Amino acid sequence: MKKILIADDEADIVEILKYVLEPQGYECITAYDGEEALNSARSKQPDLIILDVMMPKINGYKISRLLKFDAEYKKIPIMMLTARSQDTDRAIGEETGADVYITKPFRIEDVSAKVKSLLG
Amino acid sequence: MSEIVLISDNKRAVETASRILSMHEYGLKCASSIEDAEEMLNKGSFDVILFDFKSYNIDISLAVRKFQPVLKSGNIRSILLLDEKNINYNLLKYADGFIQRPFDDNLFYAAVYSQLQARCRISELVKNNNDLSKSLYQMNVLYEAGAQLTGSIDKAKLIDIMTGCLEQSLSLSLCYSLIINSASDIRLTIKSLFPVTPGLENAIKLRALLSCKNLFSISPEIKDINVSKFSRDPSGSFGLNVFGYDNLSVPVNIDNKFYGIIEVFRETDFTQDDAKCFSAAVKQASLPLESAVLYEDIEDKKDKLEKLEHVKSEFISIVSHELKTPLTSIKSAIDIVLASCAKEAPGAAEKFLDIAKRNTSRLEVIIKDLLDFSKIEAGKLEFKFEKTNINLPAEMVKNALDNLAKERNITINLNLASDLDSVYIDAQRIEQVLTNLISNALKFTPENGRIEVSSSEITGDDIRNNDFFTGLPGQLSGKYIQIAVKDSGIGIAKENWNRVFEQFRQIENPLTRKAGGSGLGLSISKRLIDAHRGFIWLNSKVNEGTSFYIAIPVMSDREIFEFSLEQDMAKSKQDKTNIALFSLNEKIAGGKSLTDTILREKILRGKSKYKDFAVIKDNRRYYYSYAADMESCVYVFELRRLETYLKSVQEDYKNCDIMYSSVLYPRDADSIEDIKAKLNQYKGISDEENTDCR
Repeated sequence: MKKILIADDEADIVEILKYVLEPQGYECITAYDGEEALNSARSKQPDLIILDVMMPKINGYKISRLLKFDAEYKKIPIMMLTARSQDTDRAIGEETGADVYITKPFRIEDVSAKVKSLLG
Repeated sequence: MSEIVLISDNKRAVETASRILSMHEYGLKCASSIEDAEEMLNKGSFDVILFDFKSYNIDISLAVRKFQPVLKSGNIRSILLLDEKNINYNLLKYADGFIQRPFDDNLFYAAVYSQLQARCRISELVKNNNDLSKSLYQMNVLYEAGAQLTGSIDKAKLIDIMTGCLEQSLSLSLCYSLIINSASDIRLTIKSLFPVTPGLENAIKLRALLSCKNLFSISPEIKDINVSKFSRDPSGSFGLNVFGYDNLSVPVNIDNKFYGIIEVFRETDFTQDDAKCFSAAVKQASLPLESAVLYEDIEDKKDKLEKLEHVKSEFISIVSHELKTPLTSIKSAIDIVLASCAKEAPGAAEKFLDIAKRNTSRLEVIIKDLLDFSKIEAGKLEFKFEKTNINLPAEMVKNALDNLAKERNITINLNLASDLDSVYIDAQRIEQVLTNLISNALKFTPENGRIEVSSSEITGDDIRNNDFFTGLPGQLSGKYIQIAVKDSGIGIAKENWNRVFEQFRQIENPLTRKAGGSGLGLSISKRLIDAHRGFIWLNSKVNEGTSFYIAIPVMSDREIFEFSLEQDMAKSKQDKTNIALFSLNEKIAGGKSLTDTILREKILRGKSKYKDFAVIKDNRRYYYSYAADMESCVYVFELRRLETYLKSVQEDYKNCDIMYSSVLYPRDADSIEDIKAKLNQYKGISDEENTDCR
């Protein structure tokens, strides 16, 4: 079963995503701040990471950059969530190596579809 | 008197010359040898030298050639007394004139006289020439200064160029400039030939300040002056004697604003031309100085604008994030409920609708904060003040937030003092502040923590002596009612205490934020407390907990009256409605009809203190009240009711005693009876002269 790490300091969003993805056959691990997210990413080796940009301790951009520049973890696809939709943010998102960039509020069908395309 | 030297040892020539010249009262000295002549010329100054070629033992040719330099440098004329027989034509070119033998009295005199005239003329020419040179030099200096002045836009530099120009063109002993940019930025620059003694330096400071005393809009102190000194020649020194020199001074006025003074001193007196040069230099600098001042102003505005732009874009991006986040939860939660997967699991619909509802409330709070914030910024926030016991809002908020606290097993304890004085507050806004403080406490306190809300009476000094406040101006006197919200949470480091009240503080660095919220709560709370003339502050220890305090002043009826008057006046300005204030003191009423008295045209400046009152303009007329005549009876009405009321009360109140009234609005009083009733309520409250100023 494929593992998805869901990292967001908004507990409601984590719960929503979990509720949507688990029935689709994915195992969901959760993290509520940047530090937790990074540790989980490294120790649990998820197949996909859904990452919010704005998190306490370490933000999503940093985590993405750290993982993508690390040979061991760079293969894990990253889906970034953010409320900021300005072009610069998009550019930063793409520059830090996120594979997919989703703006809030999102449609859960979109998220499901993108997850499917990343994980097969 | 003209002085003439005769170089001759010919007795007859000497006698003749003496006779002729003394007739015309010229001074004549005789030298019988070249050495004698040399000594004479060294000791005195002469106008003409006569060289006698018929001398026996003097080599006159040698003398003529020898004394050429002296003649030239002193502009001394020379006349050759010729020998009838031997005329040395070569030597004629060395002399200005010659007299032939035999001597004719008149011709002799005429020759000497014409040389003396020539000497005069030449002296004049030389002087004019010198003057012209000097003027030319000054002009050149001014011209160069002009070129330099147009190249600079810095005020200090411009003044520097100007004083440098003055120094150069006028050969000054000392020049100083005192420039005042602000109360904390006062610069005195002293440029002098010799270094100045400390005594002179202090004297100059005093002199500069005194000469501008009445022109300053601030009162600077001697110790606030920054001094820079420059001297050209270290071999001497200037003391107080410099003040005995001739001086010129000019105020520095830029764009009708007074900036300082420039004064120059010179040992030799200033001529008219010097004074002209001085004014020219100052005038030349005036236009660039205006530009410089304008430039400073523009730079300042540019800074502010840039800051504003920055705040604006930060605001937009932060706010959109804070709004979009709960929206995401709401939208997705509802999507889930609507989607088929939710219908299959029984408890799921309820759970997600709950999530949606919770986030809706959250959104509501954020939006409300934003609206409040923008109203405050625009100065449009409205209050409804009333005398209340502060414990009431405290209790309301506690009850409202109790359930939320219980969710995380946090207890909120109330420890409210029972005999507190009433305070003049907008209860709803105080509730808002307390909600903000208590929800913050909840946010930042881990589970199983404690929050205590207490109320007590404190003094102004208690506030002033607090760790949080540094440099509160003046004395704070009087009573205050304090509410403290104390939690056992994560605490705030001392260096952040002040920043806590800045807008968006909490999410100022959004990528490391700890908990959600608009980030505006405390900033709004502070403004609300400010509007109550209160204080808000905190005390905290990291990992132990934080206490937030608000203190509201206990106001006397008199103070409440002034306070509400201020508010009404501010509001009327905003709404562009009209308020009239007037007194029913008999002094004003005496003799004339009240209406007439009030309806005279006058304009007064408005102040919030008791003694002066505002006049708000009606489209047609001005209404006023003379502070001097007025005692303490004041009524406030909307203007359209004023005339009616005035006509009706004229009879009733013309013998009015001292009465103090609070604010009465037509909406509070629909009839004259109502007004009378309200007035009676306040009757007997005396007018005190000493008001506390807050």
